[in-house]
Amino acid sequence: MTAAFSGADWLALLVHFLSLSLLAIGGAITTAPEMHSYLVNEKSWLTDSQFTSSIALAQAAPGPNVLFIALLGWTLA
Amino acid sequence: MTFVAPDPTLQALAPRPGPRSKTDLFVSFSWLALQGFGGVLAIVQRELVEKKQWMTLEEFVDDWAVAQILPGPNVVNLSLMIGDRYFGMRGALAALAGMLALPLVIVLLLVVLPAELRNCQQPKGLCGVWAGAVAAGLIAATGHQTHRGIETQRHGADCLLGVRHFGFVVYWLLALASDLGVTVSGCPGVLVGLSAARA
Repeated sequence: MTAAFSGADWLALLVHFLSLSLLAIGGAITTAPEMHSYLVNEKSWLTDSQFTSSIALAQAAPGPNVLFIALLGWTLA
Repeated sequence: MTFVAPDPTLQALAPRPGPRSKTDLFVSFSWLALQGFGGVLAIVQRELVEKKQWMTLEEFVDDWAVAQILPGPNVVNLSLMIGDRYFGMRGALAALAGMLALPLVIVLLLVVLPAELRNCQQPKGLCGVWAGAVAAGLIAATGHQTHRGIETQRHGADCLLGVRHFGFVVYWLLALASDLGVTVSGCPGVLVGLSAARA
């Protein structure tokens, strides 16, 4: 997580993920590749291993896998 | 004896069980979500159709098809649809909150705990026990959920036996390679996980 994560960044994140959710036909996991390229490649806010462990942890824990997105946000903050 | 399919119209009109209140929706969906290791959909079907009988299988499949096709996570759509059917917008939100809230707390705990454990100030063995307990809980829960499905397969019992023995081998290899503290703390964790896989 790099420093300087401003309010504008949060807003950009929110807008991007909102628009992504409209494309999430067939489950939230279908948008995971796009989230990966956005968070890891484009913005470099997360490392690859952080992203993967979020997904793995959300799978192992009880409840919907969609919570991996919450984990991504938690790791960012 | 010929099979007579139940008349769907009559079935739809007959009084049927349903959630008693929004709280019931919240509690039911929370309970569903907490059982859903690796995905809740199968649990939702078993609970709502077979156990609670809030809907028939055909109705559930119809709802699921709609939820799947609409954008967004299918369990989110499903809980919104089912909640809204019984109690309107607030019911939809109650069902959704049930589906997401408790698992969210658990999953965040799972992220926070290992970070805390890394900075653990207590004697190393205690931290190891705590870490082992968390890992054991996850393994046991996953084993508990999956063993039933495996057992009914043709060679399911053999697979479980193989997993058990493989687990022992892996454990002893790790124990040989690592600290005594890790060995002591990992022991109950592995045993719990393996007994869950066997039970």
